[in-house]
Amino acid sequence: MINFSVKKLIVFSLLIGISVNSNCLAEPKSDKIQDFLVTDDFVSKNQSPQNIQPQNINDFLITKDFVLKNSTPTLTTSITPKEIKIHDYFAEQSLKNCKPFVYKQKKYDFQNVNHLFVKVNSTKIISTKTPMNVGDEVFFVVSKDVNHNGKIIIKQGQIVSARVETISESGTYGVAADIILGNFKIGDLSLEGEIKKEGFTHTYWVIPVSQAAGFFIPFSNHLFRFVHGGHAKIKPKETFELQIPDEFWLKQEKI
Amino acid sequence: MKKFLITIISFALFTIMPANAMVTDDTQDGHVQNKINQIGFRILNSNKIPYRITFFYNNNAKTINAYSAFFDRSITIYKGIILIADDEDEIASVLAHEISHSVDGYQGILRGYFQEVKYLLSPKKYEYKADKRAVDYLVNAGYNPLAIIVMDTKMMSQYRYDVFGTHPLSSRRVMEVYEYIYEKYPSFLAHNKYADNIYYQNFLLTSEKNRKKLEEKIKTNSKKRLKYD
Repeated sequence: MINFSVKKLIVFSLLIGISVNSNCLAEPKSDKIQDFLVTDDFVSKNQSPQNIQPQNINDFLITKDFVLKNSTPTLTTSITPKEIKIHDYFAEQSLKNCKPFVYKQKKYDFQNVNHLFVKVNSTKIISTKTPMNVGDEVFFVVSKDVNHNGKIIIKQGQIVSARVETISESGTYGVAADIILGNFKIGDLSLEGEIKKEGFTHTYWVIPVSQAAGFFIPFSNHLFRFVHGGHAKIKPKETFELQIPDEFWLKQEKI
Repeated sequence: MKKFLITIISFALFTIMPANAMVTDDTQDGHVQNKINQIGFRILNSNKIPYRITFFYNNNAKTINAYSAFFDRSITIYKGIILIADDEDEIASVLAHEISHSVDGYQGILRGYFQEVKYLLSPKKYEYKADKRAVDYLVNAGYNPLAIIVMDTKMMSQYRYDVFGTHPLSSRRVMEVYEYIYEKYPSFLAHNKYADNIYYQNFLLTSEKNRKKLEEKIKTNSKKRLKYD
């Protein structure tokens, strides 16, 4: 037994279906062929074979290779495709003395869990507030002797050179700037590790204050997007740890 | 009672989120998944990234995208990326960018949980940072960092403004990458494997004004950050 409301639904859907189909089956208002033609040119060219002009094969050639492979020796093409190459002249000129990059795959012993570390301090304040470029050299100093088996392998006071690797500026809503330093070297010895420092994140107070402001004054929370985070600063007081390559101090052990 | 049980079981079946399972069968998808794993883990190991990051392949061909999930720091790459990439470097460039996001997902308080909030508030900053870090990751893993420019030229649309957008303008992103490579790894530009590549050529064509700005910056030894068009 079908429910009365379901019966109503079936009848209603049938009526809708019939009305849609009847529209689709409706005949077009005009049956004159001229009303369906796009352009007169197309009609005049194609109605009689005498009007058809032989097409010039040269107009259809795309590449030189295609021409050479498909044309007869007597046929000449008027198209000479230009080889357009855009040069990066500035890079080519300014970097012409650059040697090719030689990739040296570093072999790490991930099984070894015993590592030696060296503590370093910056020689001056390094801040994202002062304009600097990626690749700029900065200096650190070893703050404590590194001992291994009674031998001093790295002395206090040795200068460590480093390079600015990445500078990420501060963002909206109080997100702080950060700086990454890498490529640490004591003479010829390359240290492993990076120093990452982030500025003060104002997001912790910007979010609650902006939400509260938006509650009382509509859309005022969007003004807080202009609050930028703090600059990343590395002070001389701060001590950082870098890893000494295992092969260096293992060599010292053998000696 | 029967109807109640059937309802509960069917509800449970439809509401359980499908587990993000790796494709491991012997079909084409399995091979692609393995390849992505090889590239991804090569980048992780070469850069000594001490965080667990996994890679998943989604064989939805209509999507040209990849993303890093902050919830579990996994990276998903869609089939569309694989279809448009011409070599391994280009796939690696996408993975390296997402790895940078995943690494950021481990930083900060609550094991990086708050990092997602910061990303949502200032996504453009992290996109620039991820592009730059991707360059470093690629070089350390033995890939060509110019593949980032090639891949971005192929797949990134150019919007008019990025004031309220989550990503910076594509033209700015590729120029920042180009400047970064010029400053840190100029040998890749000097011996450019992609010099004749159609997509790199298109980048040169569309970035003429921006490259002139960079040229002036370098000639004047300026340290001011440029705002590209």
